[in-house]
Amino acid sequence: MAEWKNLVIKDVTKRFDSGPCILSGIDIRISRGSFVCVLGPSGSGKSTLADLIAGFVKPSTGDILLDHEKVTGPGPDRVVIFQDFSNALFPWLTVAENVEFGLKKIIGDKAARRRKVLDTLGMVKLSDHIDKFPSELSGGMKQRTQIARGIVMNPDILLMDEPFGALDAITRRHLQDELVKIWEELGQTIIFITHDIGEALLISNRVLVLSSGPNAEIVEDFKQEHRFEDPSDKGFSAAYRRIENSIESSLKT
Amino acid sequence: MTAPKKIIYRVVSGAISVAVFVVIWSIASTLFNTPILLPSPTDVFHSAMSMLYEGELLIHIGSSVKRLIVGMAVGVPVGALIGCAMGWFPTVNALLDPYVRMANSIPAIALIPFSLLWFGVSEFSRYALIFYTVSLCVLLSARAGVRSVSEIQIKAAQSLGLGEKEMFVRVVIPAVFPSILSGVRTGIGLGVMVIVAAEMVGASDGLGYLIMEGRSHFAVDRMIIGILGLGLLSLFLDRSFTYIVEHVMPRWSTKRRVGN
Repeated sequence: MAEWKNLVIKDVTKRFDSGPCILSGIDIRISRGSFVCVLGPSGSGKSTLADLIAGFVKPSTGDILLDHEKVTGPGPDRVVIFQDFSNALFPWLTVAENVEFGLKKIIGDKAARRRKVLDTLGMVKLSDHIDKFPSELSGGMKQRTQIARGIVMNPDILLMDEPFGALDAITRRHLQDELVKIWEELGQTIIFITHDIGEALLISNRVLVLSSGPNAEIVEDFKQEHRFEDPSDKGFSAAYRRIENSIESSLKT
Repeated sequence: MTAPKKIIYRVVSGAISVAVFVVIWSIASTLFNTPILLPSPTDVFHSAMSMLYEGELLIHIGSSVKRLIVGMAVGVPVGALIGCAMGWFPTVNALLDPYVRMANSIPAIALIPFSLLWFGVSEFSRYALIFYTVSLCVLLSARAGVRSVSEIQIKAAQSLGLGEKEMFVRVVIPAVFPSILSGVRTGIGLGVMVIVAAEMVGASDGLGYLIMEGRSHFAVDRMIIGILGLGLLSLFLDRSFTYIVEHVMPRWSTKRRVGN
């Protein structure tokens, strides 16, 4: 686990051209191996924060550092899992070929690469569908493929931007459980953007709440020692209310 | 509809369509009663059969197809590459776009005299005209295809570690391939049109030649064979192309691109 890097977001603000300041004074330290959810109302700049960490956009001021190394652009150390799984996968490649896509640059040996791809597809329970094309998969299977394509790269951070937002409730629940299992097994950092408080509490061990924009900032940094297994767990509704309140009060101000 | 029913439906509707056409033609030629201007379908059929039997028809078809294939074999890759480059690199587009727009309004037929002047009455001159038409057609659809590549796909590939050049080869070109294929399909249709024009000047074989030669010998049946031959050739090539894309290289079929 120690091989992965810590993420430091240092006093970051972001505005696009002369528009309003979207994020202001974001200062977060995310240590390796944590599972962090970023919650916030619509338009709070959650996706902008994800784009900043991913390196798709640059901060207006401040720095994003991976173990003291400045993030200057997108890269395989911070693989992004997108909500729009239909567009994120490459439709001309099979499931296995999609997962192999980024790995080609890392593992030269074809057999070793193939083994790694098959192992990873086993983790996301897609072993029976490796030769299918994305158009032949259900939404949940597409998202599993995308997750496999991300974790196979062994990134420092898996950056997930509302990954289950477009799935039905049952599939979402399954994938949440599986994601937690994968994280427990692999142990790298996951940053998970969502607007679902329940989801955040059930999967992560730290919840960051962004206030509503413009000038969105972190208004709550909720760390939980033990992840809730189920909404009926003791303390779940208290935690839920606490986060809900901080979102509510950020809306009023 | 089940698969066999669908086939029966298509065969029957096709047969009815052909039968109606032939009946109207027969009636027209009977009423017209001047076989030298409008021969009956049976007369044309007999001529076609004897041309086929003597091997003459196949020579004409073969020559036309050969010209189309040579022109396309060069035109498709050139058009696809330039079109992709224009769609992906704004500078390339800025440099070439004015010429592409002009060429788009200059039909190959307008270039025939020029082509004859430069290349003479030669096969090369005909290849050049088909090359011009097909490459332009593929270029336009490739460029439009690049512009419609999903932003998320680009972001996903960047996030997986691809640089700009690799992106072009590993994401942009494959993503655009179905658009290129549909450009090729349009190119086949336009290419057949250009063959006729190209063969009307100085050729000694080909379906376009057959039409002109028929006119000068007052052999209307041969003209009709040439005209119908072109139409059928185009239809056959189009259907075969679609079939090959769907069955031999399904991963490049547009159908695969309809997600969800």
